[in-house]
Amino acid sequence: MLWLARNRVALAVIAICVPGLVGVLFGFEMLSRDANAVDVREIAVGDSVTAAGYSWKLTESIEFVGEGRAVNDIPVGTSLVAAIVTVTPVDNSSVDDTCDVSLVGGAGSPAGDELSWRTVSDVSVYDYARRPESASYCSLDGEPFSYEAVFLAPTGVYETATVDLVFGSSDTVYRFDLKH
Amino acid sequence: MSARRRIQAACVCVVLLGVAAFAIGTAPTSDDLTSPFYVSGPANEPVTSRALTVEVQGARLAKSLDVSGSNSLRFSLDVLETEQTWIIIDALVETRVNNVSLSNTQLRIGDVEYRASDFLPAPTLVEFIGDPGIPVAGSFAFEVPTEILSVDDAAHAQLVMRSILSSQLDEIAVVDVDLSGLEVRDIEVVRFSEIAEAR
Repeated sequence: MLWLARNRVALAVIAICVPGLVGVLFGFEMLSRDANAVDVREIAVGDSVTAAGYSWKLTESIEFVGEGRAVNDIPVGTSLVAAIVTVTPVDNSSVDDTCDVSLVGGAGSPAGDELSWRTVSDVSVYDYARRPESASYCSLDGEPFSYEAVFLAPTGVYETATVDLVFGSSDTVYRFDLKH
Repeated sequence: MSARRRIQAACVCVVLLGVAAFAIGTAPTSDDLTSPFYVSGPANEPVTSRALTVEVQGARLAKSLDVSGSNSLRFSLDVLETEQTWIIIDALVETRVNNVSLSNTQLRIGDVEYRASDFLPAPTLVEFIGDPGIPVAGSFAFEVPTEILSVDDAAHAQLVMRSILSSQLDEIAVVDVDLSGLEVRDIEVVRFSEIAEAR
């Protein structure tokens, strides 16, 4: 008891400082992890989602399996995947913005991370032509439009892939199932 | 404190200082702890790192590069010359993760590393940002001093596929390339990047 009485100040300092140090070391790390977390919202085939003042619906998707440049201009082992998303303003809250889309799927990276494929800018290389009424880029200006995103991915990815859509710097990913 | 205990304490201090000095002297350096893991292999065989698989398909030497096959609208020259020597490495690259850049690829000859030339018209492999699982064939071009090709090190050159310049604790594919005995031609055609058919 005498020892406790003599060292009570030191013990109190330890009792305060050690948990405080642990909190500073790990608390900020956990907070930054939460801040970087991505909110993924899955949208089933046929469903639509409202975001940024627009209604978004994946209305069509299709795969063209590569048979070689001599046959269909798509390299063997790859597939051209097209997805059409209709975008309709739902109210006056629609904002001017852009969105990024990517095809996500496959077996994943060696570390288990999701793999993604970017849109193809020059689709004519693969003898593909977008529909005349479709936009080749996602630019929101308050008007309805149909966005036709085209990807080149390894054959086989299409079966389980999704189309991920993100607005500007938003942390929310809208994940559309493809129509098979 | 008695004299004996003082001596004991001093001895303990000396021993502890010795242990500390030994620990500091033998501890790995920061570079040792964070250096990349090199995955080496020969040319004409796939070499796989965490980020990519690369197969060097050949090496050529030239005084000039024929870049007329480029689709770049911002580049007007058809031929790039040098007073030294161009080394063209033809390779097949397939990435295994997202957003892999090859802009930091280097050719190591002896103790010197040369960065792949980034002023050739697109699309060479230097501008390549791969989509996973899609093999792309193309060329890297390196402008090197001619005299370096005459030393023994040229037979043991290495293509170092850094995805980022500081690849700490990451795997880096390294391909052995024998540059000795290659003829220096007047001009060689640069193979611009294109998606390779599956084999």
